Amino acid sequence: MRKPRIGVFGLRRGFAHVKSVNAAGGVLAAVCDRDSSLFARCAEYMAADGGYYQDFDEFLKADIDAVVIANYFPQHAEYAVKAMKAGKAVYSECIPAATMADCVKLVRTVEETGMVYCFGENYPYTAYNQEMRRVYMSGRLGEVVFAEGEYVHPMSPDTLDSIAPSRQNETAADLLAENPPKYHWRRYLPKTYYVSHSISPLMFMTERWPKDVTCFPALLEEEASHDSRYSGEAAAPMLVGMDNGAIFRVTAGVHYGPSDNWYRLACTEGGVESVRGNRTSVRLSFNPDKLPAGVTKAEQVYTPKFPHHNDEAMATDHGGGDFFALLNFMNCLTKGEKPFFDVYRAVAISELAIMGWRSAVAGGVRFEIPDLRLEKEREKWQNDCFTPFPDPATGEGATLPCCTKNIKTDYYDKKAAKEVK
Amino acid sequence: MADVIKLGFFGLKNRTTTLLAASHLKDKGVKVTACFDDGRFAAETEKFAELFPKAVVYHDAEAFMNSGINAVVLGDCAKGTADKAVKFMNRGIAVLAGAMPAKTLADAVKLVRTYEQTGVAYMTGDPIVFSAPVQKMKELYTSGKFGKLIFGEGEYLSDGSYTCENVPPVNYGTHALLPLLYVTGDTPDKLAARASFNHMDAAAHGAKGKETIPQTLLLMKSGAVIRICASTRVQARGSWYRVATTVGGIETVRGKETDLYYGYSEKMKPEDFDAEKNTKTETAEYPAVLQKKYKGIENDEIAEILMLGYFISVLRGEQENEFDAYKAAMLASVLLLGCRSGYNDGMPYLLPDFRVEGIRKLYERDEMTPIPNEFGFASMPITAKQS
Repeated sequence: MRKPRIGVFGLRRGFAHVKSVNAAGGVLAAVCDRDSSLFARCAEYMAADGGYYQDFDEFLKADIDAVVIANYFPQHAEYAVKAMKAGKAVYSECIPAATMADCVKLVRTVEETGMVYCFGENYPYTAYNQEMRRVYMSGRLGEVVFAEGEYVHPMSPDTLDSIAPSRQNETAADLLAENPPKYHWRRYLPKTYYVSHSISPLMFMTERWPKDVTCFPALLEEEASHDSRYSGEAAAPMLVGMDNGAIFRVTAGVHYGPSDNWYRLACTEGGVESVRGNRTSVRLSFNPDKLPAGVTKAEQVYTPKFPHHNDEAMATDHGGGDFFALLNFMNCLTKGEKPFFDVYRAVAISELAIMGWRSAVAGGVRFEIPDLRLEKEREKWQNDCFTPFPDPATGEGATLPCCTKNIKTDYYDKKAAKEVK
Repeated sequence: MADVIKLGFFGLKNRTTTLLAASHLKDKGVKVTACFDDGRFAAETEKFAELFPKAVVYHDAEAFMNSGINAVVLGDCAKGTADKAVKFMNRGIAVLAGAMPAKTLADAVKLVRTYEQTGVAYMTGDPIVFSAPVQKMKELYTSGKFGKLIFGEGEYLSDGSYTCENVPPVNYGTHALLPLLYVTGDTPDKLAARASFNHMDAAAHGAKGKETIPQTLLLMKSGAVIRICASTRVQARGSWYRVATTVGGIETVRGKETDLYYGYSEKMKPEDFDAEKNTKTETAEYPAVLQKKYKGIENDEIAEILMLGYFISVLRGEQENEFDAYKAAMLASVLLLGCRSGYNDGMPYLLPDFRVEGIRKLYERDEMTPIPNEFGFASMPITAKQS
């Protein structure tokens, strides 16, 4: 059986997958991006008969078995659907779908085509998160009643500016470009949408599903007015009701510090969490007067390793999570395994992002997360195309606010932003 | 206030450390003259008598009130202290009350009105606020070098050994919330709470009032958001306070509450931040002058001394009271409305401003409470779901 031939679509984030495909057991056979200047760095990973494409439809005609979808954040679903209809398995970057209608299309396409769809969420597969899953699944902690997940990516205004250019840095050529940075999705990203890194590890550890969400946005008006983005919230903490009655607190894509990503399970008999300020380590805790059988210490802190493929994983990004996420996909293609983050979990995560934002806009009212495993639920949502993202070419088409208040953020003053600190 | 403050203790449950702390107040012109015990706490009464041999132990509440005290520390407070506080204040006796400030919103209204009508001092006291880590957090936050609050978290997770039966753990939420309000100076505006139901625990223990684990999100007037949780069923035990800010964060160390972990986000570290990396971890200590003054005394007791000292300073007009009746009423409203929100699947509630009489009128008859009366009847369910 030949190794799976993989095409990577989108070579900025996608370059991490370009580097990982071969080590994960595949063959890099094609890449696609409208920006051809990104091709050169892919050459050392590319198969001898590999191809370079700037057109997605032509890319799908290449001799590839599967596509890694790593293009613009809110545009994964339409390309995933095209790829599956063209007979390609799909490995999708986050977020799987940015509208409810896209969630429905994704699920229906997977069911109609029978193609493998795998959501490529990487943070569940870091060494510490894999260890937390192992501990939880052992049963020693009892049942989860509360959990927390935070994706914290502290960024200075300059760094944020470099990936979501502000108007101050736009050139005349930028404004005339096919996709002016002015309409870049990062500028319109509501604060709940980057939630997959926060919720996915918790879902992976506990195997629980989100059922509903309540969200309060944290909007500091003075800070928001100095931001380069149009979505001004600094954070949007969500309380997510899970299918076992537990409540998970998740916060998506925030820039505050000092700690970075953090995950925690609080259970009936004990707790496990990544160590704040040292996330490669895990802290296991029990009440001293209620130690489970075989446990002698109320608290242990230790640094777990990957269960296998340690060296290969450490050579990839995101704490090795990129490698394992892609390896799991390869196993789906070569061994017929089912992906943990299948299309149903993928859309559940997307729905959490979408409904979480609606809760935020509605002042914290609880929103249910529809179960799109059921066709009768899909029928209700198949036409719901509300989106906060404008067309990147024209700037038109946004049908939801990306900020909960009417903040004028079309002025970005770096000096003033530093003074606000 | 009189030159000598005659201090009494009403209810000695879990008050041993407070009694020890009170023995250090002589230099503040305080004389402990009386205590009331209903006969349940012999060990604490014995300790009281040992520390204050000239003070009188009363077993009759009325006699205690008439004993000549001009200030009282209210204990045995998990079921609400406002009803007792009002009685003392109406007799001109200043009150230092612990959690829970009020059992009902109606009680919270009565508390505030009594304060306004009598002018008698009232303070809602939580020794955690005066602990070394929280004091240090306040010092760091108010320095202005850590920016502004975006997200905060406060947890008070106890093992239940000293909490009351049939009292929803949410009642201990003041321990989770008040330190954060003190550190940041912020005020909650709105809340939404979710309750997770511990099926396994209910089946194993059948303990009513300890099954629902509430998580409350508070939208603050600044625009920031805080999460609080007080529970006896979330493991493992411990308290934790955290403020995440526009440039970094400050928090107590999880599992080691005496320590602080604080610092800055990428490229936000100022030049004068004394650390190689962006962050620091250190044991929070009281200032040297306090360490010297209270040498040999445990930090828990020093926190109680500082809390009592704050109260005395308020009575003498030396200190503005940031833990007044309005703060107490607000705390009670967070806990009581948080309960309702949790039972109503997260329905958001605006928090009343008890400084406004028009708003007080809306709640003056609101007697709904999950805390049972002496007959065991509560007007709200204790748990979110049927066991």
